[in-house]
Amino acid sequence: MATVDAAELQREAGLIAKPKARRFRTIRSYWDLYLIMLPGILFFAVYKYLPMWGVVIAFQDFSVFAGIRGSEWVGLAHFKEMFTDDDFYNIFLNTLLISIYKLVWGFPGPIILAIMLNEVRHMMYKRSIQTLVYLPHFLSWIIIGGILINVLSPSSGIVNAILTSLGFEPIFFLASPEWFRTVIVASDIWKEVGWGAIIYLAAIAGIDPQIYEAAIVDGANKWKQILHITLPSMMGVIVILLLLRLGHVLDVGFEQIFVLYNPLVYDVADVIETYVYRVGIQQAQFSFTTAVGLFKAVIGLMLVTLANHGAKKLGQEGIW
Amino acid sequence: MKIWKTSTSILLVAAMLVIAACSSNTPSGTPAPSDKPKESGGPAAKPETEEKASIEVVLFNGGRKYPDGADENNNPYIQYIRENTNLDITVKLPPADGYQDALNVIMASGNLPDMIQSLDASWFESYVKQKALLPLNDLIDQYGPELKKNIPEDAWKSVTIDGNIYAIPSMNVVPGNEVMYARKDWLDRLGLKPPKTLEEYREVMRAFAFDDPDGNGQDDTSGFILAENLARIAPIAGAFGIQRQMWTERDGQLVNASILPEMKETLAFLAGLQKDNILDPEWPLNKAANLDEKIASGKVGLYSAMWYDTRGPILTSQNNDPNAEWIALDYPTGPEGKQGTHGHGYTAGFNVVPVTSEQPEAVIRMLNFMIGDGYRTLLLGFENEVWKMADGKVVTDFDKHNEHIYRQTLGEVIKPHASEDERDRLDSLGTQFNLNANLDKIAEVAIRDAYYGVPTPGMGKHKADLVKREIETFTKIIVGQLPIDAFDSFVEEWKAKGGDEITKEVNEWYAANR
Amino acid sequence: MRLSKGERAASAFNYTLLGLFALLALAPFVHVLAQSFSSHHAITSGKVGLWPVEFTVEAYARIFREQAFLNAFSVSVLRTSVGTFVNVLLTCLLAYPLSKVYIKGRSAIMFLIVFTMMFGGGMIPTFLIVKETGLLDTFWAYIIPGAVSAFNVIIMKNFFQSVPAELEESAKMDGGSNLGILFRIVVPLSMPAIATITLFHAVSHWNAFFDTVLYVTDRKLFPLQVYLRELIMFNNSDINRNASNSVNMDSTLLALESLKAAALIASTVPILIVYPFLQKYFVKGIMLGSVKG
Repeated sequence: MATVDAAELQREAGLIAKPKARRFRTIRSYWDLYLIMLPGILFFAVYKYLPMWGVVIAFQDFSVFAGIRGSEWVGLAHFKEMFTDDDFYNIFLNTLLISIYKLVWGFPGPIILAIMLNEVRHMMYKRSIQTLVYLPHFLSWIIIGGILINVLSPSSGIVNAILTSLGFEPIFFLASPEWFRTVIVASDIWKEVGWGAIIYLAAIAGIDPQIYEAAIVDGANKWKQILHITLPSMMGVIVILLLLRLGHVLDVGFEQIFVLYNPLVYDVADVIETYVYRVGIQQAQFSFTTAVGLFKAVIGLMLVTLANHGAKKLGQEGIW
Repeated sequence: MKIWKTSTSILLVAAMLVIAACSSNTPSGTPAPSDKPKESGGPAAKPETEEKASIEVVLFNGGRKYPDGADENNNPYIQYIRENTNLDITVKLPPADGYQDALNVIMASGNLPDMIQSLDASWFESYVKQKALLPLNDLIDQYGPELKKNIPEDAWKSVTIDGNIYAIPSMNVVPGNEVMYARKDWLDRLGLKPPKTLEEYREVMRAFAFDDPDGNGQDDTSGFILAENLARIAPIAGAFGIQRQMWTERDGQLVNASILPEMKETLAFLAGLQKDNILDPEWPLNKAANLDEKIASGKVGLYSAMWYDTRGPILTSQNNDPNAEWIALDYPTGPEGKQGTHGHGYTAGFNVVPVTSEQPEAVIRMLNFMIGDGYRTLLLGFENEVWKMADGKVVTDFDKHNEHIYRQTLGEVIKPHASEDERDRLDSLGTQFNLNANLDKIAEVAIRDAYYGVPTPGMGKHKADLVKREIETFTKIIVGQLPIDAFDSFVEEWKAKGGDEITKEVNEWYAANR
Repeated sequence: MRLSKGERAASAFNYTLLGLFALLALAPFVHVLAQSFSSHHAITSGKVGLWPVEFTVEAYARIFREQAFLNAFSVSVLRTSVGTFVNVLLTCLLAYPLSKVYIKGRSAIMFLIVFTMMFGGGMIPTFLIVKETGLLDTFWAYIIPGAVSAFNVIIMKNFFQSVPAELEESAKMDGGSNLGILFRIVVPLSMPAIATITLFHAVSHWNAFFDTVLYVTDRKLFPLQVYLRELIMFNNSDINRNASNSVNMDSTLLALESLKAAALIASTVPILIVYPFLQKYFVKGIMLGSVKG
């Protein structure tokens, strides 16, 4: 920790010590690079930062017709409503649990898949598999939900048919609080793993094949190649994606839960997004929704900032 | 080296051009939206018809398509309204999926149309509160004789706040949804008569579950079926004289039926069915499609059908099994001789005029025509083109009907109460489907909500939460995860979590509107 | 290249596992495809598995029948190609300088970009800006409000960073300009990443429908997704199940499920075709040597 801080200080010091003229020269010699950033920066300024004053409606009783200037200020009332709700603690916990399960089980999925695909030498096979595994990404949860209800049905579903033929009791997966989260996490992995692998495949594709050749000459077996070449080359992307994922730790995927949950599993399935939906359904409660969004964003930003800091200390690039 | 420089500068120029194209398009796009309404409103038409009022209306089109060459502002039906009202009308149709969101951004945009059709009572109430809508009482008196004639008093009450009418309501033409249907061939095979009392129903359900009604020698049928979120229980609750969540009078006060002892009895009855394995065990997860599938494939022979299921799963069931014969049953009679099913409220849509409108009277004149002289044409199509009278009956040319289906976007803006035209339309679909017969059956016993005002503030705050608790508790009671007495603690919880507050508001309304 | 016994076993295991998983991923798609070619009665009775029952193309006929389909389809194609081009270009132009340590303020800019991933103004304020910039009811409402995605900028920046600095330095020695290096060295080397974000953008443009709801009322600008959603909604509504009618019951009772399935296939297949074209950038490593050479 101390060493890094020291390095940082040194860098700062170096920067300050640098004569002004030289700093200006770097700007001048890279003026074209500054210029090409302009459209992107302008975009973020106009379409992302200008509307951002909209977050103040979290502290108002926002009325669409009156606009932000005409709406009544209510301070922290919406936050109070959220935190004093008897169910909020349980809902928050459910959200966190499902999110963590998805992270722990789901995050490595695409990495493993990408590595497995990379080990396939047969080009046709590799391409076909690659194309097939990303298909589920294009199916909506409504469709998948319909299929899951049938497949997991205790009376006619294929999964329970297999279970009973092996001598087990049939399980009513979607109505059972013990199984519900498992189904949520597993179906999410199944749906998104192929899609998620694409970005890692791109990272692997960037590896210079000569490195592998050299490793083979050195007698490294497949396993060692994966461990010492493939994985380290993917590390940058893995860290970035993990950091970004942390920023959305309280978003668990509304559509999936909404399609699959039912009153028998509300205890374990009710999450922040379904809660907001329920509160908002009465009327477009922009203020309440914004307040909840703000709460999620603050937590997300804190996590990302911490993790980014940590990643840098571990010698990774980090996001900023 | 030189090549590098040139190619770089070319790329740079190209990049700049793209950027310039984007940014130059922004300003050149700027005047477009402000021009647009005038353009489509017809700037050419304006000077020659100075006295002609022009209005813009936003309607819900339900995803209907226009034939090639026609669109929402260019078709014989909108022309028909324009000519008969001497109004210059511009129609805007936001995407049907996401309509309410589109309405919200329209309200935020500042340039509001003269009329908006909303399908959501809460939306309506919220904009009344924001003082965004114009009171219409005087205009209706002056320009809307047909509106006053065709819209019943109770429906007006549902759009009246503090004595001001803020919307022209569109009527629900259907009294309710659910009718009991059973397999006649199954009853016959087991030697049973069509059930009438709840006890007889229970016996038939039991027999349909255990006595092999389809005669295939396998235990593969259920006696009765419900769907997720307690759907399809209306006739059972009706036998106890109530409907879930509806307000009903007890000793001069309105109370919510979900917390009445009758509700507990309904749950006890259903829990009994589940306990004896009569009920489809998967019901808490049944979506409409799952339920239809079980009906169509002969897994269930007695259920609370939608009135149009005779053209849906029931028809499919007959298609799959030529022996399948379905009959509509009498609603079950409960221990105290009661019958009932869920009845819809009067109001299905809210046609509102934003306060910014300069031509509110033109809107009323248009609606007055659409519910009066124009209604039959907007519903059925042009006479002698889409339909004609033969032997006193409407005969429809179905190809033309489908081609002109877009007219119903206009026909549904405002529907009169209990219209004969509607019956003609349903009969023309084929009397073998018993559509009107089913609706009549529903109308006979439909239990209506005794509260038909706009959603109260308390409902806005608590209703969704109360409904969730209710569905959760009731579902668990029926499947046996909670004992029946859990109902009593639910009632206490319901009252404490906002139910009492809503009850108070509802009774204040009741005192003023009874 | 000789493999050890263990490696061969692992490889066989790998092939099998991937194959099984691919089948598991394919099955629902085949199911949807089968539904799209099946009759109403067959679907509502739950008879359709992986093969059409009572084969019919009625659902596709209903989708393709109208001219509006073609129009919506071309709007989608145009929006996807123009939009993706703008996205990728702007993303690269922004991400490349941000990947260079010598660019001042890059950390601050990166932070501000990440910030927008978590905090946003919400629907109404964004709508008002789109309105103020004059995009309502224009084609550019599909392109400009989503011109750059923060996520993809971060990804691209990361990939740009992994391009070996020596390559750029040697190009610089040869007198290459900054932009020359970007387009002649860095972009070709980053093709896997560019292909990735191209795919991401293309898919999201193709699937987008909510910006139409908010920003566009001109029906001529409605894309395929809105067209299909309306088609399904129309056939789904109770009102219509009873209103639309024909002497031939089976054709009006064209299964909603089958229509939904056909709509899904019709809207997914065109975008699925993009992937195989981009795939060549994923399957084999970029030859650094050849660029260097």
